[in-house]
Amino acid sequence: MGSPGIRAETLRIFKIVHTWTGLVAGLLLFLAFYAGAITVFREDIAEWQAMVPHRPTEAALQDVDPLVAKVVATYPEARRSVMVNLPDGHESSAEAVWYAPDGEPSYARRGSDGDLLPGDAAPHRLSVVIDNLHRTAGIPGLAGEVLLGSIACIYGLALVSGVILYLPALRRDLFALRAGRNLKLWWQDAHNSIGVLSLPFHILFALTGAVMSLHDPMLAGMNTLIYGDQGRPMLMRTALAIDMPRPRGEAAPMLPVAELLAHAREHIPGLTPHHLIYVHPGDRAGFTVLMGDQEGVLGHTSRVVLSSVTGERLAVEKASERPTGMSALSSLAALHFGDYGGSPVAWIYFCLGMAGAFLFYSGNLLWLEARRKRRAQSSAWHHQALARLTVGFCLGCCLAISVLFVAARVPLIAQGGALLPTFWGSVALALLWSAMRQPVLGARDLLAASAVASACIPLSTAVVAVTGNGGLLLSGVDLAALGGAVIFALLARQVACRARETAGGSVWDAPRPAMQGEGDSRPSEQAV
Amino acid sequence: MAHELPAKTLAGIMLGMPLAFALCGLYGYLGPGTLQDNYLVVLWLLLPVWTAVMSMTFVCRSGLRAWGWLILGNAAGFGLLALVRHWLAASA
Repeated sequence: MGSPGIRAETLRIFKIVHTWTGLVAGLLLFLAFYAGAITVFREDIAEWQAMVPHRPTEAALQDVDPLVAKVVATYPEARRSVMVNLPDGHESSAEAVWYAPDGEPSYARRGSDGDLLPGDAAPHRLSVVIDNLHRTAGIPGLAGEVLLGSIACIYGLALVSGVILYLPALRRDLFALRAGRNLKLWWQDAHNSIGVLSLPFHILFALTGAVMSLHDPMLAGMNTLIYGDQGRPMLMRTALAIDMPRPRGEAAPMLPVAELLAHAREHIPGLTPHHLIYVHPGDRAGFTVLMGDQEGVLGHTSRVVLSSVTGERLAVEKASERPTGMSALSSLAALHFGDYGGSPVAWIYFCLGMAGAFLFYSGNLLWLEARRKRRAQSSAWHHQALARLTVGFCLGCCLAISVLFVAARVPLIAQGGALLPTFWGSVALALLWSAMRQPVLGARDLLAASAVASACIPLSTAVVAVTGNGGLLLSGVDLAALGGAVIFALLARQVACRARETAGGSVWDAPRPAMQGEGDSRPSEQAV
Repeated sequence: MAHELPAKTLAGIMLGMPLAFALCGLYGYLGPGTLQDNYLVVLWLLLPVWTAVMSMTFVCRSGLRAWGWLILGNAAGFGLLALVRHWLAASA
């Protein structure tokens, strides 16, 4: 291990840091990565659930003018500003969002009869629920963002300490995947190789994830500690690209959105907006921010700011023409989402996300395996508890997400907004199950259950199609679920084989009659 | 605890975070570009800088030294930040 320049003592400290940051953050990071890898395909999932393709932006734009007019007329709070989400990712039509002075959002969309449909559609939408699990573990409000943001910070520390720790050994072992009789070495090699080979990706995610979750408290801190309470105008300017004008109190008709878009395209040709912000709608000083991605540019969200009344250009901020620091940052944000390169890049992100999830699962297992030397140790209650917690939570999340897809096809659950409770209910059941069984048997059962649940996903599509409610037949999501079912089944089979082995002294051993009474008082389970 | 990790961790969180604000604040005022241009860069620098501070805290020989260095660092950082702001306000 010894490397010139790094004291042995330092390495020891970083090993402790790496272990504890991993143990503390590992479980939630597993959920964040697993759900995040699936969120890459949010648009496909939204279409899969709706069973109709997304409306093109041009079609949804027809709803914008009546929607904004009605929202502003009905809700006084929307008169300061109202945002319109256009088809992109989760969104399949136009959705208006506006905020109360305390920051509480309200939502509305347009029904088929032209009436306003108020209310948050998020709890009914599978892709949004999975995205929320990815970003906040489903915990609403600032608490969830701060929790996951802090987890991302701990993850950053785990990365730094992991790199320092394995730097000396890495030059030797990076591409060595010692497949052989020593299963523990294989897991250790896989953990190290995946950790190092996808390191740039992990640094990117720790950083962008943490900043995206924690920007509100961080901006508040910057305002107090750095800018002497003068930070708000800079924030508003950053958010809106112009200084916020005061309303004149004089009503003036707004240009239709089609005309605004035509003006915007004079400045950024081919701009397809995914968000519109109407500030002071209906006032003479009102302006509209059109936000969209610029084709062929790796950078997040170009913006055109126009007067809502005259269409006059107030500001243009192209992703391709930002100051150096800003353009680097906007590419960072774009790199987090991975929606810049079509389906090949989406699949690469999916695989990297799944590999990341594996990293956290294997990290916990390795810590346990390192403590298998003596039989008495492996049945220490806290090793048993961690093994069961890791298996129950991680594999429970896999199971619960597959269950979610099937549940999204059940009108009672999806329309009743019970998707999130379904997820946590499934995880709770998985935890309960793994608490009652030997870890290796719990893992086998949960993987088998995940295989069954995944296989039910295309089945649920078929049922809806056959009963005549659906337009789309088997989509990519169904095929991917089928592939997932096969992988889960193979893993379950592998774990079942492992359960029959008797390596001795590992928490992964299935109990054998000879081992009973050795600190393990539970009744013996029959190994497959 | 042999490595005094709890004391170091606490120091890194309670004092390392403000130190990161002070260092990034200095970049905000002195870095290339206007205060406005640097605003978001400061936001993105905060956590990498904090991670670096935190990692260096772990390398400190003892918990007490970690607290000492971080108190000194904060005093220097915020002192410098106040000076720079005062100087810029005077020259504007």
